[in-house]
Amino acid sequence: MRDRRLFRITGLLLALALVAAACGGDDDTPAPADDDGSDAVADGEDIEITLARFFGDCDETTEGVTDVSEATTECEVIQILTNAFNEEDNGVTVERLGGAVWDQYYTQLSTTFAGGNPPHVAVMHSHRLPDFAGRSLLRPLDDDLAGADIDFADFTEPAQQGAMFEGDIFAVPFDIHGSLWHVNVDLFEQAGLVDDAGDPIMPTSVDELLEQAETIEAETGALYFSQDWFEFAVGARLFLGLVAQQGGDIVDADGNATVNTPEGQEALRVLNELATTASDPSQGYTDSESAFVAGDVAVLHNGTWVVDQYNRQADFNYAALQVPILYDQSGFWGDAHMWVLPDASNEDAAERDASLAFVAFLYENIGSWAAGTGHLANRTSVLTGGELDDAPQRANYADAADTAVFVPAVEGWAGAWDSLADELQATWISDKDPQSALADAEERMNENLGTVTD
Amino acid sequence: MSVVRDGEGDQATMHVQSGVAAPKKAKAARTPDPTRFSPTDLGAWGFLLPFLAAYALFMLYPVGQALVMGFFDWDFLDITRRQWAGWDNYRRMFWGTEMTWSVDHLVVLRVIGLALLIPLARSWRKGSLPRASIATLAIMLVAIFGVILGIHPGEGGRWFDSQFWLSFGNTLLFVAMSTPAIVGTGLALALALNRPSRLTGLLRAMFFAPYVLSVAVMTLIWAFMLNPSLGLVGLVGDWFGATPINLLNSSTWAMSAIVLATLWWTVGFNLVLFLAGLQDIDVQQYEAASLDGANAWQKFRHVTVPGLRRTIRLVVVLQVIYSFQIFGQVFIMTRGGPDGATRVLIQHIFERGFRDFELGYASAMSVFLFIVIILVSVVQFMFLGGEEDEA
Amino acid sequence: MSSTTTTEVPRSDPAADLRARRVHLLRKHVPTGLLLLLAFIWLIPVWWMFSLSLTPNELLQLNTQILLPPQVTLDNFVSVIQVGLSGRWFLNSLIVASSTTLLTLIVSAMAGYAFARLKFPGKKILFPVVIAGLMVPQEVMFIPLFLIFEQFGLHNTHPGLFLPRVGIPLGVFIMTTFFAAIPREIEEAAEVDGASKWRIFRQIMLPMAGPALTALAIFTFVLTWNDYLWPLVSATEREMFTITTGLASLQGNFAQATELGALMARGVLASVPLLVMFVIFQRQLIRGISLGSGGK
Repeated sequence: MRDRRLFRITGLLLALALVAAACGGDDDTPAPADDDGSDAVADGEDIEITLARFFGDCDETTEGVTDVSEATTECEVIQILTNAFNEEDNGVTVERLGGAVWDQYYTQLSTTFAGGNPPHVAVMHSHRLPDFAGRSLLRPLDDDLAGADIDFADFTEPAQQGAMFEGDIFAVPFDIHGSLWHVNVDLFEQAGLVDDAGDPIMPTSVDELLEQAETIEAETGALYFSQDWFEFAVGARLFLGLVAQQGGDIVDADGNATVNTPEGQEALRVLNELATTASDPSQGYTDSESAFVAGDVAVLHNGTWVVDQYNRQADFNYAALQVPILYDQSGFWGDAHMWVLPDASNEDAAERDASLAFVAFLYENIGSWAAGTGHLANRTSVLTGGELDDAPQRANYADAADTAVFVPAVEGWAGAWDSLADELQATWISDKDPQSALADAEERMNENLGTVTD
Repeated sequence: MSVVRDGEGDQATMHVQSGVAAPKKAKAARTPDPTRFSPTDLGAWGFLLPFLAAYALFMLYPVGQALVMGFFDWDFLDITRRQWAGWDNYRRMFWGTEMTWSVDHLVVLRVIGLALLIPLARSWRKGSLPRASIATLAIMLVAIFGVILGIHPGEGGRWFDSQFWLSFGNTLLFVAMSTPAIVGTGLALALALNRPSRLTGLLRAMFFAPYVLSVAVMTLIWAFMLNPSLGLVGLVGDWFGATPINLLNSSTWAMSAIVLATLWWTVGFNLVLFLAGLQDIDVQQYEAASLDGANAWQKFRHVTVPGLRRTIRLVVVLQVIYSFQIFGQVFIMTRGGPDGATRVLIQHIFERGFRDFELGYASAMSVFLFIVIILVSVVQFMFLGGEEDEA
Repeated sequence: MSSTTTTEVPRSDPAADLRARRVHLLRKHVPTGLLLLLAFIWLIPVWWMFSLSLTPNELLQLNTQILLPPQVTLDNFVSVIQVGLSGRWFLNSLIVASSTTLLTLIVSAMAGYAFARLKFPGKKILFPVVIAGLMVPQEVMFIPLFLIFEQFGLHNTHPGLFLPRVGIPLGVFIMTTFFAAIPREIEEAAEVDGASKWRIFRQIMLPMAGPALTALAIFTFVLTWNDYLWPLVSATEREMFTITTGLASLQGNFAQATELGALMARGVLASVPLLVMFVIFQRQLIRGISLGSGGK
């Protein structure tokens, strides 16, 4: 008796499945097998190009919306821009591929490359460019940019660097995002650390930094500093910035890791001082952010992508400032989102032009992206043209677009960065000796960068 | 009407299959006939074929390719960077510079391993286990704990892949910690809930419920819960007036936290299997034992355990296999930290293969893991009940 | 429970009677009571997830240490259901999980019967080879598999999603184990009656392996439903997402800091169907007091 019921339920499921599969219709759209232009349709129909990107999915809130000023998140900005482009009568339709959570994007993207069928346009971080460009998987764009009305020289220096590999241009940069010092001005004021204009005074040396930490703690009871100490390698970013501020480099010209240097040791010393005297190293991304927004911490080291969010949320006087210069020159971690054209999918001239048209459209809207997300605009004309005047806080850190320090453009960097972050973390989480941590970091980084041979 | 050969042993019995006639089944003495092949049930291949087809296509072929890739320098993305590498990948995995052998390297672990020879010797004398199995295991123990673990880089040398042995060690630790815990808990729950009533039905659903959560959700819940400023652990700490540490952030406790979370998440699997297994134990045996005056523990030992033997073996083997392949939840919850305390082998394989694009090297490491799991499973089959599941 | 009746001796002492009855009640209910307590503690994390899913995201950005929602909202759920394709994603998951489960049950039961009861050459070698398929991690295998499916144009199709799982030997391992446990006498009786292997399989072995089949069905359904890596790379078009990859695609960066409630709501929505399925089918797991051979 029980079995009959089970049987019936199973049969029902099967029937449902078959019916649904049948009614599902043509969901096996054949993926374009080879790119000899067989998919480009002539006579009046739009050319369809595929786009791969992260930033999430928000079709519901952006359905039919083409006015980018209505966007409130990264996802909405890029989706609305895509909608707007598709609305235009330009002969191109952009179809988005996806399904990936943020940190699985590259697994998915790499698989499409491995299958020989990558999308027409894809977003890519600048720190990932060498891996793909170095394998000749991306189309060099030097000759295409002029024809697409993209002025490469308009990009700031770091942006240009990030888009190039071994002298050729492989990407069209979309933004620069990087470290920022998010400041609770009220706490600074309470501690007497503001100037006549009411702006918080930033330290100009390590000693001043640590003094400020003491002062703030004494006068307000709040912790001075917070950052994500273990989840997303934020400590390594600060390390990179501090090394750069001292004029150092974490990778030398030959591609060998150089973190166990006086500059590196000094940077690590500062990090550990902060961890032990001015911060709570058990905090990760979410709780350091919560602590800041709740007003319990004076400074949060995070990035450009949260500026609008904190502006909305903070019920105190909030300022987003550049990472203070503690040594000789400005230096803080930066990265870029860029648009690349995989070679294998852009061999056909018509499809290639379509891809370039879309990328050019995005190039035109870099200002909107910056305004809508908090990331830095990376075009000088946009930075000086007044487009971002209304966006909150941007003026405070606008020239960061000229001074951001990117990670070394070498192949295998992703692994090296993980190794570095691991070893640095060990010093403030497991009390590992800084000297041996940096020495081990170099060894492991060289393993990753392939500069160690048997 | 069809004629079917069917037989026990070598005595073929022809019986007419029409559903009508009752054939005679000769149960005469079996005399081995050396001129005949061992009997095959004709239908056997028919039963096997659907599975074998799927298995060959979707398992053997990819696995075979992965095995082959282990001998290549196989760049995931770039065809031009693929070339024969012979044993290089394996050398890189296992070896280093200035390799040497010492008695005292990892001495504690080795002594413990070799100490297992004592119960083995006793078992040999008592004859409680097949001697072939004991001999094999003894040889393996001596080889691993006596010899292999003594190899290490000497002065000024280093492992080629510093993370390989570390991550393998973490995987072994996880297997050792999780297997008894998750198997034991599953068994205990199954025994407690093996009654058909609405209440036990509810309880079964409650203990099974975590299994239906996806890894993304499960890790999100636990990562938050164990964080003193974000989760319930902090609330509990407040009641006791103390601030607990974040277990996931401690190199001593992170692995235990992962084991606990995994137990919570996956015990439902063992629970269900054990319940299924318990159904096959004849209730009359319990009644007979009661009449003989057996108490609960004796009934457990003499009725339940023997009856569950096959299921126990199934569960333990599966648990070990899955534990060796642990990856998803660890990666999301701790990324292998802190300080590499929870970096497991599959994470290392994944990173080398998909972050660094060295698929050949990743494949070689997978082959190593595969062989280890096979060896461990073989040992388990040897010791967890000798009879094979065959006619 | 029955032992208490055999040891109880009728006495004329009412106080002792009362004591005995109390002890009896305690022994009967305390273990169950403890189990219930344990089960509730067990589910606290799930309760918390549910609580968070009903809390507005903005409040969660300030405090997540709550056992009850400070303010109840259905927005997190509505925002998921509102996603036009979510119904389609749900259907995809249902189709793929059902198909996989059905095919796996059939194929594994047949193969399991062959390994447990039938004779054929090479069985001693084939069985370990089949089980060895469990010992290779999915992360390593999926690339060659991906390339095969690419060649046959099977990506972004339903068969592309359920076919690979049918080759997983978990089912064969389980079914072989349970078929081997069925007493031979029943089979032999049927053989004497002239039944073919197929009839024996269908009318004797399958019904007796009810709990094992149920267990396998549950596992297969849940594992297929929650599978992430394969649908991630195989179903890249949005209409073909499963509920797992579809919900994942909604996530922006640092989602756990900004939209924790929404994340939890998605988790609830994706898990509830599985739990419902388990509740329906788990009764098949327990045969009941009149067991087994000849029962039912």
